[in-house]
Amino acid sequence: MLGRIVVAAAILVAGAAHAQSPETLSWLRKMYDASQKLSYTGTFVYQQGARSETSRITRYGAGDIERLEVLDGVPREIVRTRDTVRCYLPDSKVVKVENRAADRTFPALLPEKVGALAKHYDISLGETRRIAGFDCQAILLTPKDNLRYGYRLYADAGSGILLKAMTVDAAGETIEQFSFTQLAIGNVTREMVRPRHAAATWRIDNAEASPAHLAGWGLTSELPGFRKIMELRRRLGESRHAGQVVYSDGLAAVSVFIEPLDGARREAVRTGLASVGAIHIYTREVANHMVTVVGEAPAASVQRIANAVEYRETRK
Amino acid sequence: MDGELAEREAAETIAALTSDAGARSAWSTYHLIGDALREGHSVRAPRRPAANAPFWRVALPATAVAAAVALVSWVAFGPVQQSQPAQVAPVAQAPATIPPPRAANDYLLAHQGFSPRVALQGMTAYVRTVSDPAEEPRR
Repeated sequence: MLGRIVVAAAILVAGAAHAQSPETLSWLRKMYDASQKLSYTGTFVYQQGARSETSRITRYGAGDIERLEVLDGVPREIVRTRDTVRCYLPDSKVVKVENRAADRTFPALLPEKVGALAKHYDISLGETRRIAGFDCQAILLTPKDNLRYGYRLYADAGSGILLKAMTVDAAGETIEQFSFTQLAIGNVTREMVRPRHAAATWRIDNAEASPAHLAGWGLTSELPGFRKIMELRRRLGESRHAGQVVYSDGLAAVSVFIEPLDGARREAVRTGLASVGAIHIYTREVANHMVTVVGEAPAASVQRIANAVEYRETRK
Repeated sequence: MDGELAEREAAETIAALTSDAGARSAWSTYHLIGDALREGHSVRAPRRPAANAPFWRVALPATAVAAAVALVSWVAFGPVQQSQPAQVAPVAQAPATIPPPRAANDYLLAHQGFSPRVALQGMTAYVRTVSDPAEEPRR
């Protein structure tokens, strides 16, 4: 009996030490630095369910500009600069603009916070594997409960660039995967990250997001590990006004969107759960508002947050 | 997927593919990237309703009625009753599965910028926000 306890304790200690290992944390930091500093261009495949889509991504490190172009079907394009994210949608001739001011001050993004992930995930190193010609190290983030997904990340041993990312559910099945098939590091010019669409006559949907306090709105109970990290007012789509509250455990994030319902829009509310790859979307009506909860988390987590959304009338 | 199908037809084809194991396997054979196949990773098909679009057109009015009833009860009894269990749907109850909202990509784009994952993964995660089948066919 005592022997068992000692063995169990030893395993626990070893596990904890493993999760906190400076080597694994330094890999996460290395990946983060690569995503922030380097220049590269490559082709990757996004695979979700039975479908896959090929895109090209180019990052111009000197200007902190990234451009993503979908190579299959309609040539949709996203250009992210220091200040904005612009989505060019040629089929509807719309440019969607998101301000980046908010996410740049987002505390969970700071590398110092990476260590906090160990509260909710066991972080360990996996096998080494060659991907798209690069020798990669696997970094495994295994959730400590069933409220979040696991991640299997493969980073280039030299540069730290993420070559492959898999999202894994509790059963160990891959539900979503990003994988580079070709990557060239360096030799990126400013010209290569300019949008190919002129878009001068296109409609511009600007989110105009700004931090705000959404009076009266909150959760009856928070999901363990998920803390509120952002609260803002914004526009969605063409011009719908919405509130957005973001909760995160440091890696996964869940957004709660709150939109007032008028007579016409009430018809459109469909209560229920939808999924897009690893993202679940749960919609319900609360206090004459449509509440849409969007998160890269298991259905039960997204639904729990959605069901906890409440409105309390504020006294004046 | 190659632009020959109308959007709606494409969506229905995808729904059929995801609910039909044979078709799905054929689809995979033709379209999945060889890399993934060689590695033997099976990527799970999205949980979509086996029923096709017309089912939802039938089911929707019932949902709308339920929502209206919920709204009326909220208006009638006010927020004081919100903490009572009856107001909160039990977590264990399986939710109705619906297709992604028509504005799914708007939500995904709005959400993506705040996902810490982007800090590790860079911009590749944004591809979801412009993905085709996330949108329902427009009417």
